[in-house]
Amino acid sequence: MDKESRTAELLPGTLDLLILKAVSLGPQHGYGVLLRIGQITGGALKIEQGALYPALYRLEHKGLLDTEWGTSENNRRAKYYRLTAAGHKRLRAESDGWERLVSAMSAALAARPGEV
Amino acid sequence: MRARMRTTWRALVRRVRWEKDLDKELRLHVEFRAEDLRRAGLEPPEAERRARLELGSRENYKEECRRALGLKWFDEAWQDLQYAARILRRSPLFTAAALVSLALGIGANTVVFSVINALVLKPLPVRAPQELYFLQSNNFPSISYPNYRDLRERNVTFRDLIAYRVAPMGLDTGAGAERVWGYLATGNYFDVLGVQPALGRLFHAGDDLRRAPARSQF
Repeated sequence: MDKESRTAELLPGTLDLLILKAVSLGPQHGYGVLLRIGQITGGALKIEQGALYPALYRLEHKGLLDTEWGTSENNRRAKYYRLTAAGHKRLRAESDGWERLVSAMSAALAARPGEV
Repeated sequence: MRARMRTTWRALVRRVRWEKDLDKELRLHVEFRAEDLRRAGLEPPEAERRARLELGSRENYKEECRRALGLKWFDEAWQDLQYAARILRRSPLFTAAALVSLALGIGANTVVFSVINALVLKPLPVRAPQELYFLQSNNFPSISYPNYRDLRERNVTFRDLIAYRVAPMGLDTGAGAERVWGYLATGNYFDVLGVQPALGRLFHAGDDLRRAPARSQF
């Protein structure tokens, strides 16, 4: 089994949700967001590293994230992202929507000939 | 909505700073990644190369960040303006002709609007502004009071004639006397204009005669 088959492509729109979730666990700089997404997904999703930044800027533009320059763990000036109140609300709503989608998909894919 | 305007506005007014921050953010990402790769055992130059490769096309992602804030629209508008300015500078004759025709067009519009504004949209606040005429002598800047009386007595053209002149006056304010400019007007002034006071009484024809009472009864 090669490495490619163990990582899944990201579905469109899921990167924003993953970022919101990662940042909700505590303020992070861009690279930190990437690491945390890797952590919480068990490294199972393939993320283009550069694509993270347009997504972060879009989320800040929508008022879901707030930014602030701070000092990183290795003493570097870095831009930190933090979830806003609107971001928390959006994360809850999107999580609910995601769960509905997943359960519907799972049910659909588990259907057997005799059950329909 | 407020967040949208704030992020875009901040990027526009401090554009150089914004670009620097964006560049710094992406560079820092590469540095952090290279550090992690080094710790995993890669040689420093190789770690750096790999980190840069993993991030992908930096310019591409920067452009997408700009687009996320709607900066592209402003950038393109600015480029269009610069282009237009360059073209105009290159053909001064055409530019002059365009400017002159614009000036003439705007000027003519202003004149027509002023006339329509005075006649139709905002006529003088008197009873019959279209019947009001201003008489002036070609030889003298003003007409003497006796001349005015003669004109009024022999007038058959107009319903009536009024006269006024500007006059320096003293105004007693709380802080002392102050020089102000007032107007002396004939007694029929308000009658001819057909103006009514909201409260009280204006002077009328006959009030400017020698035997007129100093104060009228309300």
